[in-house]
Parts: sequence; C-alpha cells; structure tokens
Amino acid sequence: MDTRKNILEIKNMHTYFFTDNGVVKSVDGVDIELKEGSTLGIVGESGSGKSVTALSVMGLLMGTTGKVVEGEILLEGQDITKLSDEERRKIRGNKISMIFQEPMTSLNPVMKIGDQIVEAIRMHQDKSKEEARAMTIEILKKTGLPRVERLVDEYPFQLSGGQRQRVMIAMALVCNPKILIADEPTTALDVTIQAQIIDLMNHLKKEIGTSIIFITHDLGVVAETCDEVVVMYCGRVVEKGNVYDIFGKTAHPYTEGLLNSIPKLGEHVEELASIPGNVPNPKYMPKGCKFAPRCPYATARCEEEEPGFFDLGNGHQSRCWRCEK
Amino acid sequence: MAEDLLKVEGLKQYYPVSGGLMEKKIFVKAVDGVDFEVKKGEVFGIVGESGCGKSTLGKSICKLIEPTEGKIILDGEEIQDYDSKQMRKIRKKVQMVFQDPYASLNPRMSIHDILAEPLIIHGLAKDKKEIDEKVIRLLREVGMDDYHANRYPHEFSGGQRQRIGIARALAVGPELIVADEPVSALDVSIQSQVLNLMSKLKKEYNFTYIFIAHDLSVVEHISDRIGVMYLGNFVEEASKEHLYKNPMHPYTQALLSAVPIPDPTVKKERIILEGNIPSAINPPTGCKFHTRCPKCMEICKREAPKKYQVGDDHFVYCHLYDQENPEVNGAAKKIEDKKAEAQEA
Repeated sequence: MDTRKNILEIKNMHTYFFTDNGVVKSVDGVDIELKEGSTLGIVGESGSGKSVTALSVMGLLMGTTGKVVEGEILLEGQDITKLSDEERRKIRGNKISMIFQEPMTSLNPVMKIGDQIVEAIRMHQDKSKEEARAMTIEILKKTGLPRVERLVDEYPFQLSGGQRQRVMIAMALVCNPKILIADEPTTALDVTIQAQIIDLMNHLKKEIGTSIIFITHDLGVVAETCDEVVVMYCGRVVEKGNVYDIFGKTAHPYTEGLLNSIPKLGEHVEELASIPGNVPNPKYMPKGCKFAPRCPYATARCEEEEPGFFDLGNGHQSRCWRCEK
Repeated sequence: MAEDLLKVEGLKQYYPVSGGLMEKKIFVKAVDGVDFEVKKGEVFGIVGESGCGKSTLGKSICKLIEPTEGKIILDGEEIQDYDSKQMRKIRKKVQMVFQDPYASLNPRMSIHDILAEPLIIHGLAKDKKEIDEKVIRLLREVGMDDYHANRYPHEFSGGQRQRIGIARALAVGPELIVADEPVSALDVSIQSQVLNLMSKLKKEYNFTYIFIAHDLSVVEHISDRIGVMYLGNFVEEASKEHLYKNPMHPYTQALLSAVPIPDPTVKKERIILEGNIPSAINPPTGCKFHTRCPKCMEICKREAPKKYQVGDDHFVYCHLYDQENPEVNGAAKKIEDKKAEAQEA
C-alpha cells in the first residue's frame, strides 16, 4: 500500500457552466487524490470534464460562465476554493502550475522568451532582474534546449512546437511548484517529439520532485508515464486505481471499451472493438448510469439507478453495478 | 498479382515561398521525387510526421494542386497534365476524404444537398426521385438514419460528420479513395467506429485506399502496404508485416520505438531522436535524415541513397543496405553483428 500523503485532494467537486441555454454540469461530483511525488493520469474523451477539472483546480474559470458550485479542493490540507482571487493568484504559478495543449498559443507572441519566464519568477519571488535571468537560463538548460543564452532573447515564433513546449515546461517549473498540471501536453506534437517531451517530464519529476497531473486521451502515454489513473466520463470519475490495476484488471465497461478501441502495434485484428453511439448531450443526460446507453452489459437497473463506487482493493474503485459483490 | 491502379513516378511538388521579379525563387520542396505503385484493391498507408509531405502528396495525386514534375498514371492513363475539364471524368474514379470533418462540409447545405451534389454534377441520377433514393442509400451505407438527410452539418458530432464525408466520397462510385488523416480529429471510441466502417466498405466494394496518417498504430491496423515519408521522400516501403516486425531504416526504427504502448508492464527501449525535422526549404544534403540519424556515415552527408530491395516487397532508401559499396557494407554488417550479440546476451 502506498503510504505517501496526499498533496492535493479534490472532494465531491461540482463545476457548472451557466449558459443562456441552461446549466451544463461539466464536472458533477468528482473525487481525486494526488499523492506526493507521483504522477496521476486523468483519461477521458472530449466532453468528459477532464480539462474543466484542471481549470477548476487552477482557479482559471473566471471570465467564463463556469463556477465551482460545490465541493472542496484541498492543497496540503487547505481548502483553496474559499480563498480570494488575490490569494489564488499567489498559488497559481508558484505552488500549482499548468502547461497547456497548444504551445503555439499559450506563449505571448510579442514578448521575448526570457522575459516571459523572468516575469513569472518576479511575480512570486523577491528576485532582482539579473537573478531571475540567471534562474531562467538555468531552467531552460535543464529542459535540454539548445543555445540557451541566445534563445532567451528570441521570440516564440522562432521556435518549433517541441521547443515551445519545453519553454512552457521551464516556465511552469521555475518556481519549483508542488503540483504541475499538464493538459494534453504532447497531443499537438509528433511522435518522435512526444517521446522527447515525455522523457523530459519523467526526468524533471525525479529531479525537482513535483507531483504531476497528466491529462490526456492517449492511453499509451498514460501507461508510460503515470502511477495512478482516473478515468472520467460525462463529468464523473468512473474508475480509478494504480496504473497496473487499470490496465490489467480493468473493471469498468467504459475503460474496457477505450482500451479495446485502440489499434495496438504488432497485433492484427480484422475488426476493432468500438463503443457504439456518442457521448450524450449534457442537456439530456441519461437518468441512471451515464454510460448505460453505450454499455454492452447494461441492465434495467443501470438505466434507473446510478451506481456509486465499489471498492476492489488496493485503492482500485469502479462505478459499475457489475462490481457490486 | 493484382495490377497497378495507380503509379506515381518522380513526383515533385514545390511551393514557391518568395521571389519577386528580381529575387531568386525559393521553394518549399514538400514532395521531392516520389515513386510508388498502388495495386487494385489494396490499402496503401502513408505515414510520417508533420511537414513530411504526406498530405501534399495526397492532394497532388488527386490533382487538387498541380504537380511540379513527374507522372501520375491512373488505370493506365497519364493524368498529370489534365486540365480541370478533363479531370472531371477522373474525379469519378478518385475521391478524397479529409481530416477536419468540421471544415470539409458546407455549413449552409443540408446533408441531402451535400450528397446530391456529386450525383448531379456527374449525371448519376435521372430525376429527383432517383437522387433521393440514392442519398438515402448512401446514408444507410455509412450507418446513419434516413431522417438525417434534412439536417445540417452543425447538428452532427465529429464522427457522424466524418461518416457524411465518406458517404460523399462514395456517391460517385470511385475506385480509389484518398483519405487524409480521416480519424485523427476523432476520439478513440469514435475513431474505431470510423475505421471499422472504412474496412467494411472496402470489403463490400473492393475499393483501393490511400490512407494518410501520422498515427502508426492506426495505419498498421488498416493498411496492407505502408510507405514511411521523411522530408518529402519515402524512406521505407514494405508490407505491414515486414515494416512492423523488421523495420530497416533508422528513421522507421526510431518512429516505431517512440509509439507509447498502452500496457504499463511493457518497458521498452526507446530510440530518442535528437533535434527537430529540418526545414523543407533548405533540406540537408545527401540523405535528408542524416542530421538526426544515429547511424550516420560519411557517405550519407554526400549522396542521397538509392532504393534498395531488402526482402520480398520490402524497400529501403538507406546507404546501410548498399551491398556493393565495401565501406558501407561493413557498417551494415557491424550493426547486424551487434544485434546478434545483443540477442545472445
């Protein structure tokens, strides 16, 4: 049993978006724990609520119609949903930082790369410009970027996608955050570049000791990087556990469907298994289990009653009636 | 042996990037001399990373852009110099399915009109009744319902739109379908639905596909034969069994080893390539891969490799496999020896 303490605990979080066409319950009762020094993968398809979960933790929902309406987000035991905007800002980039999917659009195009990282340092720490610049060069070197001394005075357009993602990682890690949230950090990159970035993240995790939340739809990436996995569907967690249990003792039909849907290298099958149908429209959510309309094992009970979590031992939990003992 | 449906010889596609009246013209060499054949009824997969020229190649085969140089022979007919009028009858034979199901359907047209348009243009239906019948049949063919005909693209999900895109390609009864990243914008569960649909249609109608994608697992699943591209050229061409079991080109080897495996108990050794893909405006001399190749030799910097046959239906463009050059042959042998050693150990 893993005895490391939880650095982040999300308890029964609900994040709703209040649109003109009604309330969209993007995240509807999610419990997630992140252990110190580990990597947690959040897997799900588009619309499952994985990115909204991340934005809720970051406190980046202002400016949208979204709001965390219920639940707690405990960072080292302190509930950060109760904090003021000012206090949240101090946490953001300092204790929790985030890298995004689009390295092209998440850097400021009219600001030199070095200045963007210096700004992040001086926002949170009392450093002179010279000190901050030295820190910037040091962290950029750690990410394996070439000719760093010149690169700090260049602009984002002069870099490739993989290099920009390295700059984002450097910026996110420069304040030694406790938690790094990476939202699809390699999705926009080519496979050979993806391999470089995953390698870098694993390496930096060991060196800096940051805990990582890795959001992705790619189960291959999860298997290679994560210790714990959370599978989300329609704003809920449907299965969670350590990476070996999720892949080896898959318990939820949705996780099973996802795993079977991906073609595997070197395995020849005539037809791929697939999950029939589409993710339901958030406005017309099914009454019982949200996966029941697409589930091959669905019974009358699944359509009527939504299951809670069933414990399968070793922290492995699944939200499916079939796991009831 | 099935006959060739498509034969491409020395195809080049250059895009001008600058050059006024007095300046020297500069080109992006997106496709830089490509030869390959596609046999009737087979699925030919083209893989490569962004910027390798795979999409450009797809577009020039369909003549959506005018090729700079080279021959495209479809069913024995040289089509590279055809004008748009002559191409019209070719379009009945070659259809394309695009990557972005959100951008490739006209948002102001109903699904019925989208599917009826090719039928009308090619005169494939006599009257309104026949058009309606054919549209319904196409929709059913791709697993959609009759009432969907009266809806508009925005009412559909990505997977459904891609089905509509496929139905539109089917409308004219083509022989060759060029599919450019048809599933990369879709979620995994939907991706497998569309892949299965494409396999089913192929079996029913004996289509020939050119399947362009960056995802090696997807390409392996659907293809019979695969070509790997790097910076505008093929580097390796083989049946999928050969390519995945026994990749010969150092780039193919690195590419395959970089694919994450969805099984946490498998820990494999990765070949991590240094650096980025060089610019196609000023590609490296000799073998274009030599700047990132872990097995680069002197000759690679000077000369572009020829096409070497290394097995049954297995070709590789790499100096390591030149049997006649003594210097090079030694290198290939050394690598083989090392492999054998490693296996023994």
